[in-house]
Amino acid sequence: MAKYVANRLFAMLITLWIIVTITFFLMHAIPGSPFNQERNTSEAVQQNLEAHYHLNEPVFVQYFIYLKSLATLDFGPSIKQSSTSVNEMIGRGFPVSAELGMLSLAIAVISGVILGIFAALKHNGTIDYIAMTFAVIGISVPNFIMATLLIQQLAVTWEIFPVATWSSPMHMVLPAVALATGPMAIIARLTRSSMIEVLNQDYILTAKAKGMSTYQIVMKHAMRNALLPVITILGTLVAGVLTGSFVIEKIFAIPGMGKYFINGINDRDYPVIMGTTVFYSAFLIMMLFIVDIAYGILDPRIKLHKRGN
Amino acid sequence: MSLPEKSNQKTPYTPDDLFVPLETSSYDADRIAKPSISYWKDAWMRLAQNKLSMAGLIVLILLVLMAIFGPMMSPYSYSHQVLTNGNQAPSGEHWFGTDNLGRDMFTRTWNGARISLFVGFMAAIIDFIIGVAYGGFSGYKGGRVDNFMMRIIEILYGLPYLLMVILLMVVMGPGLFTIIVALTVTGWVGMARIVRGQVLQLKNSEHVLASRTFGASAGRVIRKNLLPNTMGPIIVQMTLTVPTAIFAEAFLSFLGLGVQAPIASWGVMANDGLSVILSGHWWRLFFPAFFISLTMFAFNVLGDGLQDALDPKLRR
Amino acid sequence: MKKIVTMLLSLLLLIGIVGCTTTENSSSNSNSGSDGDSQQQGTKVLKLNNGSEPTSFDPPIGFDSVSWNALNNLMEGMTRLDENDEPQPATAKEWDVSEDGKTYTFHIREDANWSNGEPVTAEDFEFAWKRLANPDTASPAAFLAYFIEGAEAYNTGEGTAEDMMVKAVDEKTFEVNLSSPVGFFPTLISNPAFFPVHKETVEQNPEWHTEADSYVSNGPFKLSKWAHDTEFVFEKNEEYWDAKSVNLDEVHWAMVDDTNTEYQMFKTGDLHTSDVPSDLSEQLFDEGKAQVEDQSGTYFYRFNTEMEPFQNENIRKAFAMAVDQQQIVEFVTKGKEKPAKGFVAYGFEDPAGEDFRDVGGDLVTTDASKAKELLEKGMEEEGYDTLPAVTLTYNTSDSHKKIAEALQQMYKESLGVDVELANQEWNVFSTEQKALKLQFSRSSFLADYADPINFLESFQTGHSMNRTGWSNEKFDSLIEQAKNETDEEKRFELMHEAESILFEEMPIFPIHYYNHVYLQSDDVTGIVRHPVGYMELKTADIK
Repeated sequence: MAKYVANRLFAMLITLWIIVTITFFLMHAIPGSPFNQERNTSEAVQQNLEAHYHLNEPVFVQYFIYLKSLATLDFGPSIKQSSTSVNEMIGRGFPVSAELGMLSLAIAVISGVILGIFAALKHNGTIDYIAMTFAVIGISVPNFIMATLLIQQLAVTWEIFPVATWSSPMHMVLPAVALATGPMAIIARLTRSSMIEVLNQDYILTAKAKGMSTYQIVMKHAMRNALLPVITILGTLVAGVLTGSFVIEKIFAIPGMGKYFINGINDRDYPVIMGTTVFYSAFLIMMLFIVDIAYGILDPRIKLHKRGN
Repeated sequence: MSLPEKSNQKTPYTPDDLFVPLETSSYDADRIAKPSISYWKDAWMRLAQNKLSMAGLIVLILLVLMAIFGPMMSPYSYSHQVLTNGNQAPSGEHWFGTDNLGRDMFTRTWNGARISLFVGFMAAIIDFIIGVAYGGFSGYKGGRVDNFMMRIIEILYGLPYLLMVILLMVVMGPGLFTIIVALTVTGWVGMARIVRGQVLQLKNSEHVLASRTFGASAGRVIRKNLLPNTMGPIIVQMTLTVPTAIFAEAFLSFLGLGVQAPIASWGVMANDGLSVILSGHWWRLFFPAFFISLTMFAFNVLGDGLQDALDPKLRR
Repeated sequence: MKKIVTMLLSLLLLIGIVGCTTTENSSSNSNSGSDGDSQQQGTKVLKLNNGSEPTSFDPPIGFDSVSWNALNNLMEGMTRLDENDEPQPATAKEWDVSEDGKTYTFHIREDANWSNGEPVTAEDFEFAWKRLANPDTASPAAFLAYFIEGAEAYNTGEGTAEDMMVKAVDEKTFEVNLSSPVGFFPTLISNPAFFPVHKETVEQNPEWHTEADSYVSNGPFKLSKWAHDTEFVFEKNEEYWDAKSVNLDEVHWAMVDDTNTEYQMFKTGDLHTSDVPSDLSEQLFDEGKAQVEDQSGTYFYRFNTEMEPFQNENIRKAFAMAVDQQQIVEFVTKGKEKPAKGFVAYGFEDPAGEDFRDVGGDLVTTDASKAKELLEKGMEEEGYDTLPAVTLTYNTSDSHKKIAEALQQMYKESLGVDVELANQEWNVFSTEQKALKLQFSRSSFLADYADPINFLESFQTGHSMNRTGWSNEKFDSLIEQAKNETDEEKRFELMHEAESILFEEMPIFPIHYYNHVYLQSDDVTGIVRHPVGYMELKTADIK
């Protein structure tokens, strides 16, 4: 096991390096400049700015300069917000995004799994249809529409929740719910389908025949296997929810990381693009790794350390 | 066989008398009464019995038909503006109302359906093909190959999608084909991971081992033994791809990859119509959003039916 | 294994329950807290939205509205614009102008102080202005200093700081030499780029402008709190020389980057002003809630005069005349913009007191039949049987798309030409437009300083704002002459002549002049929004 983990960690470094390299040349390949403005920018001013950020050097030179500073985990200063370093941006934004992400994931997993199990138990019954209608709406109504509707109804019309910003737990409810609906629906669907499959297995039938209650069957036998597909997508879901909540963060004016991903690219703010990409990829690869490990632990049919035979 | 012998012994009321010899030859007894039907044919028969799934299928067919013929049913064109007639509520004249530039929403909705449905179907199909092939191969081979292939997936996950898409746009220019490429360039990795996970789980099960013992090729084992057993998660993933693709198309349009205005897909219309939640011109958001949901719903119930129909364990 | 799953699930449940309960507990607190904040203590708190994190509060760096709208109220230059957009003495008590109009001598107020209590000196200004032009500062606004003798040379690396003719004569006297007589210099230096900085602070701590604690300002307000990416708070600056005229105690700046949300926060009272979501403007105008303020700028389209078919003047004119600006502002943008028939916006008075635009009149007219005629004439001149395909490109945004779609229909109806539309991501669009790769594209111009020359100089040959490939010697020389003309009357004549040349050859055509549509709480008074310049809160008050 230890050897496997070590191998994977080493592979992660290589993977990261490849991502860094591709991203670096990709972002320099697309047209645009961090100093592009609709308004007047004189030639001389432009050159001063480029010199200031070493953008007048050949791309290869810039690449090695970047790798050097990356080795010390220094992502450099943002070009657009020149008084802020990318490390500061991540340091400020990530905890907020993480808070929002964990909250909405908790909502999504709990309600999704419960919905899915009930739907599966009453396969083709009323509850099944209601639960799946719910799930379909959750998937097909995108979160920006959901968010705007929630604000309009619950914050403006009924004034139960505050409209936006991130200052108290009360402020977190609407964005967390809006962000949770999509993943919740996905989890509900997955849980339902794998649950139905598991419930038809012989060992469940045996358990039923033994006279176990439905609750016991679900909790003791079915759940574990039924949740395997959920765990598979959880890794990417976590990374996605934590970092891909740009739209929700924008609508609710939440100071998270989402906007750096999008604005960094829109502004061609090269250090921000690189910094967020490195951070995100590392996080994501880590999550995928954890999922693999969790998979091995939960599913006795897979043996990680024996792979390669 | 000793049966004829026994029948010659005419001893009444013996237990043997209760067993009447068969007149027919033993050959007939071995015949299978039900004609042998293929896996797919059986699946279709089971699907046809599922009323809800058939309803979903019919809705999908209707949506496709409306996408083809809907725009012809109204006297208006999708692009003709009557600026003085903007934001009209649905009426006998304009069944779905008009948008802010006074264009007929009915025509625009069905015109948009062409793009959205096409993009949704294509993305689902291409993701399915690449994802299943890649994930199936990776999981089946295992070991180093699997390791290597999974690292490639991680790289694809890690690269900033927005950057790739902007480059695509610059290199390929706008259009439907670019959209499909942009959607599938990373779209399949989710599918691949799911298939691989399932294959890893199943490849050591008895029926797979049996098949391999008989010398079945990797492709055959994947197609005949592994795939049918992983159909459930695959179909769920596919049904999820459709709405994701419909909305991703709107996002890509934003970057300039998509079909160009004045044509608008459902996703773009839903995006544009967002502020009507505040202004009360509900029909501009409702119709595109409703049909996206309807498509989604139809796919889901059809998917459920398919899942049951394709599950070999439920085969009769 | 079973245990792990059970534990995992219970953990998730726990998180959920804790999450739910904490939200319930705090709901009552947060409600009462936010309401009580402002009213209880009788302090006057204005709640504004800045849109996003300011790029920088360092005057020469943050060259955009998200930085300078706020900065305009933290600091103060030699002059400050009044409600009629006229420059008034601010940090400078008064100034003298030499006979040739090239030397300005400013006398700084005795009671002009920094927020740390130290006096504002001429040296602070010399330091700040040279810092603006210093190539190492890499200020995007440096070109504004080019009116000062030696500043351009210094900025482009051809001269030194010593050559830049700004000088602290004594502690409170500051002298500037201009390269040409610029009548609007007092207006120009109200711009945040010309704000002073506290020399000692800047030299000791290059990061002084990044946090509220180290920020030193000399304006009506001081920066009391800056939670990055979340909000920042201004407090009345008691050290300010005119502190008695400042009514507000605090200004809270939120960072809400979504117009719908901003509007919803306005409705619930979380903000005192808001922009108007595009679909709502009509409705809000009807209800009399939305207000409009002019903004000095023009929404226009650029032809690429180096690309077929727009190398032909008549074809360009045909495309310009087929457009009905009135219809666009009335039915498409619906924001009460003024339709544009010239390039220079309203709001610049000539010596006779008349508006430049009124004197210049309509330079392009909407005339479909004339447009059709010109198109045919142009096609004949070029020997076209069919017009080469025309693609209209805009950068992605709902409002640009609406206008582009309207134009497309107008061309179809008036000229019988099917124009293709294409949208591009902003940065790609901007790069391609500058490189003259777009045939026909949307553009906008917002004035950097309040003079018609700022609009017109854009179309000099090779100017970074030209972006059309258009070049006209007569036009270039008229602009040069206007820049060196001391007689105001003559200068306006030259500018009118230049503008009419621009429209005779039509490398561009205008759609509308910019304005700012906003909502404002009835409790708030005295916020000044300048057509050129930034938000003024010094005079703002709240009931």
